[in-house]
Amino acid sequence: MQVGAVVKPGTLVVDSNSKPVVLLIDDSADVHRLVRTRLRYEAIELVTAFSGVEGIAIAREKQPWTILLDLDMPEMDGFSVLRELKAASDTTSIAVIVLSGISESQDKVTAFDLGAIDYVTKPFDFAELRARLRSSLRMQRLMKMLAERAEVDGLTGLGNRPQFDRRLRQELSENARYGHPLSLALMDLDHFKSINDTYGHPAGDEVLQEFAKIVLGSIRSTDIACRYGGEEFALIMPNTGPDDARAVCDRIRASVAAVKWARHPERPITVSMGLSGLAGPGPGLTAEAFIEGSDRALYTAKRSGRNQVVVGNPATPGGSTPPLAKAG
Amino acid sequence: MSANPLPQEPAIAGGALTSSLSTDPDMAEIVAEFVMEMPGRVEQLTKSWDQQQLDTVQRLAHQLKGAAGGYGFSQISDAAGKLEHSLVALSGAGLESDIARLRSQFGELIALCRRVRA
Repeated sequence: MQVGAVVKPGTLVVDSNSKPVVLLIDDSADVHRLVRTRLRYEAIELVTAFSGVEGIAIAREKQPWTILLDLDMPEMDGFSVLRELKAASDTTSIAVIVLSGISESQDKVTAFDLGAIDYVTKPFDFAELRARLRSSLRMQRLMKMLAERAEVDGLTGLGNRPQFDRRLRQELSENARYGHPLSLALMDLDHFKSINDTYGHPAGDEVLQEFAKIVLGSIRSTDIACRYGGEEFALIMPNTGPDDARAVCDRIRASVAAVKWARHPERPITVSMGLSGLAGPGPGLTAEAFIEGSDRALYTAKRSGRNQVVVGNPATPGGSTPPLAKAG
Repeated sequence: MSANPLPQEPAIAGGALTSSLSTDPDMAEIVAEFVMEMPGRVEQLTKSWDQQQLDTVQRLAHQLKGAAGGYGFSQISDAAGKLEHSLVALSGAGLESDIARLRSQFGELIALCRRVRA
């Protein structure tokens, strides 16, 4: 394998090809039909709900970019829906445009206080509705880009440490809730410091970038690859038990060892990996305990001669582990 | 003279009320649906009114207010809005004058609804 082009940072930014989902929550079938017709030519995927309860469930599942929310609905009114959306961490950042009667100005004020970003009055002026919706989607696109950029490692384009921390917590809670398998690999480039010392930092950077590229080329789109720090990387593999995760890690390890490096053809690069995973429901581990399991396995890999994958156990309480960086 | 004269459109009191969007090709289909569903809606309204289910009348008026204008029938939105407003403001006892106003607003809305044509 030859070193190819440098990994472009920003691999994780918003997919601009997919249409943003817009959710309409309104109890009137007439309004559904109208909005669907009037937004027919917009580059959106419109989904609809007839009640607040149904709307919140769809919002959770589909993660729309913008919700068009009727305020006046029987049973659960729009204000209660808005309150619930803003109180839950998985729906709080969704932009909400409220649909209110023209005379109800206090309603608009209350809706803004509860976190709505805009309003449209009924009966609709549809040119206005389209303009306000587009403006909301534009803003959402920028917000998402900013949020993702803030979690991307500039050199490699992989996730950075904050992204790793957030996603690992998220996946652990999924495991606790649904019992889906979950694996975590920690990967450390062997003797990386001597690459920098011998061939210079540009050569070291190239190794980091090429390694990131190999990792991205070896994993599924649902796996989360992050730069943990320095020459340490982490790979979160949701819905993957330790056996399957091991196969992924072996593939990465072999690919890295096979690279012929343009700057230093005489010097191959290898990677050591520590892996731990849950094949099913876990014992409600903390992120720290899970990382420790993989970290101990990595230390074993280093001590046993490097360039290998060692599978550990995330659930075993461990003693003290020497810090990774010192292992080299 | 034929024994069977051609069937005639029933006369509409006050003339047909056509959608201001009737020439909008994107809207023609759903305006037609809206108009087709109108008799059912009128029946629902009058039935609820006769049974003095004013909450239901208010709800239906509210929905008409929000939607009819979008289908090009802003007069119906206005009339439904007035009726809804009066129903919201109606005190528990219901003064004679309130009831008379309600009756007239309800009559106006129903008359308008009966006049719609695509």
